[in-house]
Amino acid sequence: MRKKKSLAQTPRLERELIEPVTRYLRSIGCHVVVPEVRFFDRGIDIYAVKQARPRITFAVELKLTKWQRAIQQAAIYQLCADYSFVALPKKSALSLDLHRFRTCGVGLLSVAPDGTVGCVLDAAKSTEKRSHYAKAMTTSAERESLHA
Amino acid sequence: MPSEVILRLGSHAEKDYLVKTLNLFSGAIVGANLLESTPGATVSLAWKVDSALKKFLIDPMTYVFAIDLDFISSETKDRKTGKYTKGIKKSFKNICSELGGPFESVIMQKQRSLRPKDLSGQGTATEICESVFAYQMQRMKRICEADQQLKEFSDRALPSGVFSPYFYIPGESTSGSDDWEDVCVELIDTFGTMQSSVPKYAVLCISRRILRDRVRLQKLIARIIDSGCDACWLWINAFREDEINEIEMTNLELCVKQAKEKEFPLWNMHGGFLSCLLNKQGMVGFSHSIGYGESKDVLPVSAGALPTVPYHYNPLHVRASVSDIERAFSSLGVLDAEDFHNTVCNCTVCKGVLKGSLRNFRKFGDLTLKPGNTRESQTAESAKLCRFHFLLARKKELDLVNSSSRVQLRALLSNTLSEYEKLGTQIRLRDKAAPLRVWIKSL
Repeated sequence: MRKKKSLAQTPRLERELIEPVTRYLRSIGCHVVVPEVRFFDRGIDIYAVKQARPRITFAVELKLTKWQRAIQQAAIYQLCADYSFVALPKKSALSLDLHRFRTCGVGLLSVAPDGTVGCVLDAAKSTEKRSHYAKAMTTSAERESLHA
Repeated sequence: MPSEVILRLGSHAEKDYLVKTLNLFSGAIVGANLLESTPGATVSLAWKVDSALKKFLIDPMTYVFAIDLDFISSETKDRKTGKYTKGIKKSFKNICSELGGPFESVIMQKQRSLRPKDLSGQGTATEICESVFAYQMQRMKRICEADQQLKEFSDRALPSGVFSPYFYIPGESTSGSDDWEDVCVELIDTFGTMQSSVPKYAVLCISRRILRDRVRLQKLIARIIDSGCDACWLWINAFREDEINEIEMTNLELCVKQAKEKEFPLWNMHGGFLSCLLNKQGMVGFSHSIGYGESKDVLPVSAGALPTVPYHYNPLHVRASVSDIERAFSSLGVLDAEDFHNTVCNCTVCKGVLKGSLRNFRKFGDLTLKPGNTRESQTAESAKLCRFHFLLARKKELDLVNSSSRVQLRALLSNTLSEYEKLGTQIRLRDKAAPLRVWIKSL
C-alpha cells in the first residue's frame, strides 16, 4: 500500500509536491525522474524519461497558486520535453478553467493532501520540441539519476 | 539633433567591448573609483577615446559618500597577523583625499557617511564644487605627470565635460528629502557659476517617487535650467524603462519638453530604448554600460553570482531569455536562420553565431558548471556574444530613431505591439511587448 502523508493538509510549499509527482511519474513508467534540472536560465522542477523507443520525456512545473505563470513556464519546457505538465494542489487544480491549458497543450496534474496525484488534463505531444535539447536534457537527467 | 549614446565602463574587463564599438557611439564614462583603482589603464583609455574624437567623462560619484559606507567598504587581510579588518576601499579613500573638505573630514576622519548639514552653506558648497571640478579636470593630468612613461601625454589628459557634485534625493515627504534637495540644488547652482573650458553638467539623482510628483520634478528641472550649467544628466534611481507607467511617462515627457523649450540639453544617465525614443521630444542622449546597465540603483547590488547577460531582443527593444525567444519562434514564423535574420536580427554577431542554422541560437544562452559552483551559469563566451550583439543592436536602434519620424516610429511600434498581442498567452514574449504600449505615448 502506498505511504500517505501523515498530515492530510493542502501542500504549503512547492517542494511538498515533488515526492507525490515523482511517485506518479514512476507509476506511469518513467525510469528516470529528476528534480530541478537546469534548462537555460530556468530550473525545470521535475524532468522525467520513460524507457521506450524513442524515449518519451516529461517536464513538470510545480506551483501552489500562480497557474498562469506556470503555464508559461511549462510552455517553455515544450522545447525539451514531449509532454509538459503543471502540477497544482488538488483544490486549486479542480477549480481551474482548463481552456488555457488545452489551447497550449499543457497538461494538469492535481496533488491531493494525501499525496494522491491525478491527471486532470493530459498534455498534448509537444510540437515545439527540439531534438537537440531533449537529447541533452535526457542525457543530463540520466546521469543525475545514476549519481543519485 | 540625433540621439547619442555614451558607454559606461564598469571595469577594464569591459575595455575590449568599448574599444571595438567606440566608433558606433559618442564616447565613454568611467567612475572616479575606476580611475583611482587603475589610473594608468584608465588614462590610456582616455587617450584612445580622445584620439577617436569621442567624449570622455569622469563620473565623480560623490553620491556614494552619502549612503551607508558599508557599500564602499571591503575586508582586507593583514598578512602578518592574518586578521581581517573592514575599511573603506582604497579607490574611494583616494577620491576622498583628492576631494578634501567634508569628504576627508567626515568620511575619513569621522568614518560616517555625509549628511545634508555637512554640505550646506555657501562656503562649503563652493569648496565642494571647486574640488569636484578640479578633480575631473586635473586628476588624469597629475597621474600622467607622476609617471615617467605617461608624462608626455599629460596635455591630452582632459575630460570632454565635467559633472557637478551630486547626491541622491529621496522621494519620501520627509525633511530629509527636502534637505537633500536643497543641498543638491545649491551645489548645482554653485557649480553653474564656475568658469570652465569644458561643458559643465548638472547631475540630478532622484527617487522614482519624484518622477511621479510632476510639480516637484518640474521645479527641480527649472532650477537646473537656470543654474548656469550647460546640460543636465538625469538619474532616476532603479528606474527600469520597461516598467514605466503612464503617469511616469507623462511626467518624464513633460520634463524633457521643458528642457527642450529652453534649449537645455537633457541626458539620461542610465537609460535604454525609451531614452532613445525621447530624443523625438528633445532628450539629447543617454548612457548605459556594456552589458545593459540601463537602470541603476544608488545602493550597489551586493556581490554574488554574476548575473546572466540576456539576449537583446530587437523587435521589442528589451532583453529576453533565449528560451523565451526560442519558444516564440514558431508562432512568429521564424523557422530557419533566414527567417531569424529577417525578423529578429541580422547583425554580424547573430550571423556569425547562427551560421545558417537556427539551432545555433542556443549559443547565446550556453551554460556551464563552473568550479566551486553547484548551479550552472552562463559561459563567458555566451555572455560575450550577448554583449556584442547588444551593442550592435543599440546602434541599430539609434539609427532607426534618428532616421525615422515620430509618425513612422509610432506606426512601427504599434504594428509590433499588435503582432505580439496576437501571440498565445503562454508565450512570454507577449508580456514583454507590454511596455511598447506606454512607450508609444512618448512619440
